Amino acid sequence: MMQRRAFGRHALGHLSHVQLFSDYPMITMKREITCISCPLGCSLEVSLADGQVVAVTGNECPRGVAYARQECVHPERMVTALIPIPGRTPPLSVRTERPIPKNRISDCLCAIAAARPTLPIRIGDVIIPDVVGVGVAVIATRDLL
Amino acid sequence: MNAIIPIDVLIIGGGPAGLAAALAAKAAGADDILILERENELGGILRQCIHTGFGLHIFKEELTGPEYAARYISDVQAQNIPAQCDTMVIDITSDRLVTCVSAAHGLQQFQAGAIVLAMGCRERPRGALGIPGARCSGIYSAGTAQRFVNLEGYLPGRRVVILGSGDIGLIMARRLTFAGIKVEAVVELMPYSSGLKRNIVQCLDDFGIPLMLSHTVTAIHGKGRLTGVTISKVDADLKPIPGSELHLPCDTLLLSVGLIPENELSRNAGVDLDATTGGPVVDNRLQTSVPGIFACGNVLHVHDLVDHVSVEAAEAGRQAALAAASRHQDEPESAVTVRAGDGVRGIVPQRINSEALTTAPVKLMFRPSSVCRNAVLVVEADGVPVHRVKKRVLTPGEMVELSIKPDFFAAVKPVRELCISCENQ
Repeated sequence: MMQRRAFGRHALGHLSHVQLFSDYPMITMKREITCISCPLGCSLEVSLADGQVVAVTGNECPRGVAYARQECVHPERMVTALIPIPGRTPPLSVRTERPIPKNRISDCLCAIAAARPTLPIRIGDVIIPDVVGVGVAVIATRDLL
Repeated sequence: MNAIIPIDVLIIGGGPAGLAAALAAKAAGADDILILERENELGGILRQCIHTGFGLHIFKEELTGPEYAARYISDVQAQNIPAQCDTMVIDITSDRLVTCVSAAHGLQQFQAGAIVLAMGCRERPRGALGIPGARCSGIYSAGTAQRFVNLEGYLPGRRVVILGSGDIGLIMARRLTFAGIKVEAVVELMPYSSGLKRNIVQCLDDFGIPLMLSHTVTAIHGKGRLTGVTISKVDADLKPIPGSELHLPCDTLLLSVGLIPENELSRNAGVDLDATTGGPVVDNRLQTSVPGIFACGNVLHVHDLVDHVSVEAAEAGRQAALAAASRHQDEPESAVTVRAGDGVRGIVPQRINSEALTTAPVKLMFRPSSVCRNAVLVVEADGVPVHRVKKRVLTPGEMVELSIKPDFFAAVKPVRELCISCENQ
């Protein structure tokens, strides 16, 4: 996916022969996703050019287009995880305060796994102020006193 | 044995239903309320649901289970509503004598003015499925595995197959993947998943976990510990197709194959149960067939969203407070029976007070029998269609709410039976 995107207009913009075709929409890839806006669960075929959504088919309502724009361009997810506290059960449950970019989930989980918070912890306490530099805090979702 | 303790409103279960019922009972004027909870803290199943998605309707926020529970628990504490944890209710009688045991208080008996049943539900176990094969270790219900991981701090295994695509199974697929465990596949008997689309996308698709629809586990292998399962494709009658077998090596099998309301206590009390919902038969006040005993939450019928449980439980708590205060616990003089017609199952409430039907809207909840696109819900009063409403899509995985309004009955009065059906267009 990333490789194909590199052939978009920006990457080759300095070449004159590309400029000749610059008015043509460049469909660099198609993706199939399932819309989660409602129980209908439309199968969307999303056409992308330069990493932007240029066409969506298969949607039964406008929410499908909005979902495709979000999901194909800036997919985000809430992350919830556990931090074991030696000698204590249950483990500390935590979440990101807001959704983070989907491609940072793995890094985020590693950062959470490396965290060594000290007790007592109250629900809502910040465990990691800015996780993996995405500008989102990881907070506790339960008391562990 | 201690003396029998009188109490106005006794709430059986301190999960989301019990907490909301207690708060509403207090708000409706009940002063003498007690919550009995089996676990060592309040919150019920929410304690182990550390994923987000709770509270979107009630708090307009995406909370985790423990956070959602904490809001209700702090309200209950602020209202000084007592809760006794580590306490197991062992019997309820039809005249509302409740017997319970705990290490702290020994055997106790309460004579309640009104009771709210809020015991929640259990998972369908392996025994209910009849899968042939070895009786080895490594087979858990998805919720048990969730408890191991999220509360007890254990991993159930290293290589997992999940049977059933209910939401708990999907959520566990993601949780185990996050914990570094390989989830080989989610195997679903039906040609569709009963889980939310959102969970299929964000718990399976995100991690490339295959969802095998129209497949089931037909054999379990292992001596001591599970070593693998045999998966077979099923035909339109859900029968395994010979020759389609596939062996999947794994050390853990999780079952996410449905939930059953936990009504052993209700049965003791003589409460009539509905064979479809598995929960008590209730009227529009959420009162069971036994006067003064009310039911709400997953013990009444299994919900998809905790927000809906809280709303329903608040009504049960309010009604219980009124019943306890007035001691007016007669059966409604004339009740309208609600019947599920074609394409519809598990309607709650099953009875509506005739007067209530013609004075204010009554909310019915049910599920369609199968996935319906461009469906029409039809309300019939004594065989006469009185209302039709179009729905773009209905799936068994999402409960339907239908408001029955007094003006439906302008032409037909009085009504003895309501029938709700779903037509596919």
